[in-house]
Amino acid sequence: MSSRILDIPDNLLKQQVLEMLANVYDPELGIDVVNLGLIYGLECKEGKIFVTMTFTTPGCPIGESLADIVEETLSLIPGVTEVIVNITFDPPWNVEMISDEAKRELFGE
Amino acid sequence: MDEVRLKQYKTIKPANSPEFDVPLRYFLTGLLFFVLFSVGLMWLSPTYFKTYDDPKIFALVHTAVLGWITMTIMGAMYQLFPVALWAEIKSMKVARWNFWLYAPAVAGFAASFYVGFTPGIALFGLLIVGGIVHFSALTIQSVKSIKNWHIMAPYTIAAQGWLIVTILFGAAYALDWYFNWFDVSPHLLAAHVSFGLAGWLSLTLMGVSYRLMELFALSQRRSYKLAYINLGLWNFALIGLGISLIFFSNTPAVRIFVTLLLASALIYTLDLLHLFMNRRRKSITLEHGFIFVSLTSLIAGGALAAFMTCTNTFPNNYLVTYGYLLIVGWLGFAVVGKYYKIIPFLTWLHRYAPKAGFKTAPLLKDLYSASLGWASFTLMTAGFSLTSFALALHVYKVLDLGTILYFFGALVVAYNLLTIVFPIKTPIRSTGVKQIEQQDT
Repeated sequence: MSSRILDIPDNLLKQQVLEMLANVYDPELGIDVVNLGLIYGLECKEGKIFVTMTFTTPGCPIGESLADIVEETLSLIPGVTEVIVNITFDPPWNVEMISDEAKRELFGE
Repeated sequence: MDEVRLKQYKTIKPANSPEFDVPLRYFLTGLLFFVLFSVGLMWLSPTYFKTYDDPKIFALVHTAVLGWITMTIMGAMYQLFPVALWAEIKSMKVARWNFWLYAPAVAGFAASFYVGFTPGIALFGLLIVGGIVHFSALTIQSVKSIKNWHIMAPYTIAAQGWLIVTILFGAAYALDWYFNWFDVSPHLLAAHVSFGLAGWLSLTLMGVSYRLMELFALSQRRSYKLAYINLGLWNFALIGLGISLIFFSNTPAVRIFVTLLLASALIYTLDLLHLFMNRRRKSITLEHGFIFVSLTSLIAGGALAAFMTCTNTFPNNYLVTYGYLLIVGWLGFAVVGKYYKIIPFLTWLHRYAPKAGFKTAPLLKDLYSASLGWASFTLMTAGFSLTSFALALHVYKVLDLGTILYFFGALVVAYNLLTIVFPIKTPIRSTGVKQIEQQDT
């Protein structure tokens, strides 16, 4: 899976976070936020999760809700004390950030 | 992290997300007026062959433009201002009151026209003016708080201005018609209709269509130049047309400005088609189907208008065909196509978003039947095409068949959309990318 997630140490919590994020779907496109390339960064420190994510475009009608859903979903993981979701549009999202599998699903490529 | 420059933004919370009930009540009431309008089209079909200047036809037209289309746009503004423009609606409580002021007034206005009850037309007309001024005050206040400026914003702001102008000219027409002060009521009526159709309704739909096409088809445009040229040309032509209709109605000025509007419509159509051709999601959706019929009607209606201004005399049915193409074709099809995006989105946000990460929450497309959607599109398009030809060629029997097909299309649309809000069975999420990965391995 060629996602944009970088620098992920091999520990259980981050694996769990990824699994949870794979359940958070964009309801219009039918692709989860990881495969869609919306997650730019992920860090876990002492029970706190820091997610940096973007939307497909500023003003995406689903975007705000997705950020909220990510926060609520991750806060359910046992042992997590805080989830901080930061939104960035730098760099702006583009379709090349979508994983190969998701591109096949969306565009038939 | 090295490859991506991260900036810390304050987390955006959906604090300004629309409340479910406010846009929804406008959409559902708009849908009711849509079905009533399709019944009226069948019921009154012999009348509009003879004349458009009939109180019953006025009732039908206002059911469409004030009840169905304007009501839907009002609901959409309460939804799109917060989520697409990140603007704050100052008071949802006031928005709720606006509905109870506006919706009964439109029903009373159309009913009064239908039975020819002049005091009712005056009373409900005044209430409509109040409802629209109230709505405009609320949305204009929101303009100041727009945080995410894009092409939809200038289009909707211009449309708001035209809405006020339309209402003023409608009131001036009614007063002049009743008291016979200046004896210019036909000119005021023509200006009122032009400002309403081309100013308020068309500019709103153009702005929203640009935005939704970009979002849902993943079309990334390099420049908004054509969109801004269209906005400027459209407004210039409409101002010129309004002045010409009132002061120089029998001069070539009207012809010039109608031709400019047609040119602007062509620019818009080409720009939207360019956006469509450059989309990354290649599938043809239900909304695309409705947009194609809508754009075809815009060009056909605009060409017919240009033709009529070039000839001194033309039969009454040409004028009726022109109105039908623009109201039912251009505006109506665009609105129904957008129903299939905005109602699922609103419902999903309210009902399924809180569960989205935890359960297999459905996708937007899982909330309604695509096959019923295409069935409604086919019925409506067949009915609309038959009716258009019947009106233009003056063929009574085909007209009846066309309006009946359109009515059944409207019923299927209403049923399909109502099952989104009031589902008969729990919607299930369709296949996503995870399943594909499993198949691959």
